[in-house]
Amino acid sequence: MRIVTTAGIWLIRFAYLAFALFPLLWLLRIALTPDQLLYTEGTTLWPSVITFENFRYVIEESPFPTYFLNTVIVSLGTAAIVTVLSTGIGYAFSRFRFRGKTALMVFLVITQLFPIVMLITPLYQILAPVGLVDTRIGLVVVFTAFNLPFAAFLMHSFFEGIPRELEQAAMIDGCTRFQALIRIILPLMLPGVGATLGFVFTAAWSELLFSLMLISSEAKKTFAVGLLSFVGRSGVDWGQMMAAATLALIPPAIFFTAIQKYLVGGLTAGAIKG
Amino acid sequence: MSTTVNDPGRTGASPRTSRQRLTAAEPYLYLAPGIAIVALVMLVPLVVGVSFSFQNYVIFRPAARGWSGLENYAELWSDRTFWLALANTAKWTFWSVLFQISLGLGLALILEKPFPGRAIFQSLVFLPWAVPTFLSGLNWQWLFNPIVSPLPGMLSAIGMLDEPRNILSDPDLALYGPITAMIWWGVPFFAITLLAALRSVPSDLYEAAAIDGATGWEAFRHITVPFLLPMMTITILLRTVWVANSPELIFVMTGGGPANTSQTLPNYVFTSAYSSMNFGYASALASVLMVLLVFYSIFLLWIRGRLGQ
Amino acid sequence: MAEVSLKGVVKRFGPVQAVHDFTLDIAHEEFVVFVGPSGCGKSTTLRMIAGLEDISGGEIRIGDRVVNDLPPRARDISMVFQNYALYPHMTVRDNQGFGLKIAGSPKSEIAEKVGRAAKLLGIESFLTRKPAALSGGQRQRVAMGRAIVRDPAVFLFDEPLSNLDAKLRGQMRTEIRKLHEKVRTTVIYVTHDQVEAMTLADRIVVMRDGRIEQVGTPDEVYHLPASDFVAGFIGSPPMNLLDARTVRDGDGLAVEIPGGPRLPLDPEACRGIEPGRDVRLGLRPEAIAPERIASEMRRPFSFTADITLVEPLGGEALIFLEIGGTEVTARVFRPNTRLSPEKDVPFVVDLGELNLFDPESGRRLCGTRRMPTQ
Ligand SMILES: Nc1ncnc2c1ncn2[C@@H]1O[C@H](COP(=O)(O)OP(=O)(O)OP(=O)(O)O)[C@@H](O)[C@H]1O
Ligand SMILES: [Mg+2]
Repeated sequence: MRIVTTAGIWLIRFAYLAFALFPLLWLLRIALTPDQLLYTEGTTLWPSVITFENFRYVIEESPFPTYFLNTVIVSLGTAAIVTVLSTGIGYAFSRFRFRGKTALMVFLVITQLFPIVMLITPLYQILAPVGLVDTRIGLVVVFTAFNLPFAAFLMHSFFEGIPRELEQAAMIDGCTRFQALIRIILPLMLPGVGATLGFVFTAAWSELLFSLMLISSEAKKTFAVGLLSFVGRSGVDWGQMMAAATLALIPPAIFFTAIQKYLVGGLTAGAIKG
Repeated sequence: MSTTVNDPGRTGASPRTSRQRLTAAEPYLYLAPGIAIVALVMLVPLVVGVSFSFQNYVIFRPAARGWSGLENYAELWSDRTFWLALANTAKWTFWSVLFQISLGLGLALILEKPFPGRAIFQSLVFLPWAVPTFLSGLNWQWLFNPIVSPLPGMLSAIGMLDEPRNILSDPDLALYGPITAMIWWGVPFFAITLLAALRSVPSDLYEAAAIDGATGWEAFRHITVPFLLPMMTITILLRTVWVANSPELIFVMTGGGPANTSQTLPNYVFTSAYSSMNFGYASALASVLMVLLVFYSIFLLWIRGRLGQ
Repeated sequence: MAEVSLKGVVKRFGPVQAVHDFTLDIAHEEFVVFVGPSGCGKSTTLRMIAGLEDISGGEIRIGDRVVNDLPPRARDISMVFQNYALYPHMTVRDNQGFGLKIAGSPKSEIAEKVGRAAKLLGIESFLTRKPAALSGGQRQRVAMGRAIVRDPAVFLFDEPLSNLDAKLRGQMRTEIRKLHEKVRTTVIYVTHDQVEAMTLADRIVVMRDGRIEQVGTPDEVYHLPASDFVAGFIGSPPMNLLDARTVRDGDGLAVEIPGGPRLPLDPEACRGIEPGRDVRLGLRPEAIAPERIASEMRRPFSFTADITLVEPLGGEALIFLEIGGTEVTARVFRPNTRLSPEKDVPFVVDLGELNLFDPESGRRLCGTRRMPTQ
C-alpha cells in the first residue's frame, strides 16, 4: 500500500516535470533538427541527427542579433531605472508616515487593475509629439511605468525586513538619512535589489504589445517584435525560428533562476500581508 | 504599530522650522520621480483613453475626427464580435485561473514536503514562469501544429481528438489552445504564493488537529483551506484581473481566429487599435472591460470582507 | 560639559499624547535612569533627546545648545538599543569605527580608539567577527563599544539588558556601572526593571502615563515615594498599601487600620494632618517582622496578626500576614527559626517607616522616615 502511494506521488511529480519541460525541450529539439529531417522525423521524440546550423544562421545571417541587442538595452535600462525608483517608493512607504500615503498605495494597486490595452492608443498619441515613438527610450519609459508599482511593493516588503533601529543607529553615528540608506540599508538589501532587477528585466524582456505598437523601424525592433514578424512571413523556416526562440529564452531563464529564491522571499512577505 | 517611525506628518501643529519643513517634505522627495512617471504614463493616458471612447477617431481618417457622444458604445452594443469576445473573456479567464490555482495548489503541496532532489525539481518546474509570454504563445502554437509536434497525435491517441489536427484552426476548440499556454505559464506563480501561504500556517494547528483525530484530508479541509482563503483572495483577484486583461497569448496563437471564435476583449481592443487604427472604438471597448473588472474587484473584495469576519 | 535639560517637552502621536510637559535637568556626568511601566513614554522621551522623534512642544538642550531642530548626528550623543542594532554586514571592528569613519577621522585614530574601547570592554578577541557570530552578551558589549568609541557628550541606553538572561543581566549591570566610573559622561538610561534603576542610578525618574511621577536618588525614591504609585512600583515585593484613618491619640495623632492595630504617628513628621481623615498607609515589607526574630528597629510597635503563608527564599523569607482583612507582606533576613502559618503571632512594626498617602490623588501626605542628610 505504502509503495503504491510513494510510486503514485513520484508519478505526479514526473507529470508536473513533463508538463513544465516538454514544450521547452521540444523547442530545442526542433531547433537542433536538420531541415531535411523535419518532416520525416517531425514527431519522433529525438531526431537521428542533430545540427547547429539553425543557430549559426540565426546568429550570423539573420537580423536577430540586432533585435537581441535592442532587447538587452531596453530590458537592462528598464530594470535599472525601475529598481532605483522603486527603492525610493519602497523606502518612503516603509519608513515615513505622511499625508496621502494610503491614497498613493491604493493608487499603485489600482494601476495593476488597468487593462493595459486601454493605454495603447493614448500613449501612442502622447509619445508621438515628443518624439518617443519608434525609439528605445520610449519603450524604457513605458515599461518603467508599467513595472514600477509591483516593483515598489516588492521593495517595500524587503525594506520592512530591515530593522529600523539599524538606520537610527547609523543616524546617531553621524549619517544623514540618505547616507544611512546608502551605507547601511541598501547593502543589507542586496538580495532584494537583485530580485527586483531580475524580475523587471524578465518582464521587460517579455513585453510584446507596446513594442509592436511603438516600434516600426527594423533597427530598433525588440526580440518579440522581430520573432513575430519572422513568424508572419510566408514559408516559415521552423528550425531557424525555434533556434531564435531558444536564444531569446536564455537571458530571462538565467536571471530568473538566479533570483528565484529571493523573489519567493519577497512574495512570501507580500502574500502573508495581503 | 511600530514606535520607531519618524512622524513628521502627524506631529500635530504644522511644521514650524525649516528643518521640520524639510523632514516633512522628505518622503515626497523619495516618491516623486516614481509616482510622477506612473501618473504620466498610466493615469494621464487612462483619462485620455476614456475621452477617446466618446470620439470618432480613426487614425487613417483624421478629417472625420470629432466628438461623437455615445456612438462608439452604441456600435459596440450591436457588435456581435463584442458579445462573443465578452463571453470568451469570461471563459478564458475562468478556465485559466481555475486550472492555475488547482495545479498550483497541487504543486505547492508537493513542494512543501521534502524529497530527494526537491531543489532542482523546484527550479525546473518553475521555469515556465521565466518564459516570455509571447514565446510561450509561439511555443504552444508550434506544439499544436501536427507537422512539427507529436502533441496532436497524442491527443488523438487518447481519444481527445478525432484525428491529429491543429485545434487552433477549429472554431470550437481554438480558445483552448491559448488557455493551455496560459495555464502552463501561470502555474508556477500560484505554486510560489501558495507555498509561501502554506508555510505560514502555524504547525501547532495541525498537531492539535492530529490529537483531535483528524485525518490528513480533514486537516486540509478544516485548517489549510480556511487559513489560505482570506490570504489568497488578493492574489487571486490580481491574477484574475491580469489574466482577463492580457491579450498576448491570443494575439500570438490565434489572432482571435478563426473567424473571431477565440476573440477576447483585450485582444479585440488591441487589434482594433493596432490593425484597424480605430482608436475611438478601441477605447470604448477598453472602457467597458475596465468597468467590468472594477465591478469584479469590488465584488471579490466584498466577499473577502465577509470571509474576514 | 554636557548637561541635558528638558523644558516642558511634549510629544503627540496624532491624537494620542505620549509625553506631557516633561521638565528635567540632568547634570554633567550624572547617571539618570528613567523607569516606569510599559507604555509610559520612557523610550519616546529618550528618542526625543536622541533626535529620532520630533518634539511636539517644549525645548531640549544638550550642553549649551538647544537641539530641538538638530538631527541626531549633530547632537553629540550615542545610543545603545535594546536589540543592539549592530550592522550585520560589518565586522565588529567596522561596527565600532563606523561613526568615526563617517566623521572622516584618519585611519590611525580610528584604529587606536577602537582598540582602546575593545580593551576596556574585553572584546578584542572577536574584532574580526560579524555580529551574527556573537553571543547576546558579546553583542551587548560591542554595542556599548560602538557608543564609547565616538566619545559623545551623552550616552543614551534604551533597555539595553532586557534581551539577556537573568544572570548575564546582573553581570552586565555591574559592568555598566563600572564603565561609568571609568568613562565619565552623562548617561540617560531607560528600563522598566526597578532593580536596574536602583543599582545604576544617581537619580531615578519614575514615569507614569507620560508624566514624571518623581525624581530623586534611589534612597529617596525608595524610602520617600512621592505617591502610592511610586511606592507600589519601586521595591520588590512592593510597599504594602492599606486603607486607614487618622485618629486623635492622646495629645498626638495615630493611624488606625480598620480591624487592625492603631499606630501612633510621629507628631514632628506629620504636623498639619487633621484627625478623622482617610489615608492610605504605606509600609515597606522590611518594616514589619515577627517579634521573636525582628532585627533592631528605630521605633518598634507591637501587635498580633495571623501568618497565612511563608515563602522561604534562602537568605531571606517572605511572610504573608493579615492586618484588618488585607494581606500584607513582611520580609525578614536570615531567619534562623522555621516559620509556618500560625494564629495570633506577635509582630513588630517600625513606626519610623510609615508613609501616608492621600487616597484620592495618591500623593504623599507625610512620612516618618528621616533621611540621612547628604
Ligand atoms: N509612533 C507612534 N505612534 C503612535 N503612538 C506611539 C508611537 N510610539 C509610541 N507611541 C505611544 O506612546 C506611548 C509611549 O510609548 P513608549 O515607547 O515611549 O513607551 P515605553 O515607556 O518605552 O514602554 P516600554 O517599556 O514598553 O518600552 C505608548 O502608549 C505608545 O503606544
Ligand atoms: Mg520602550
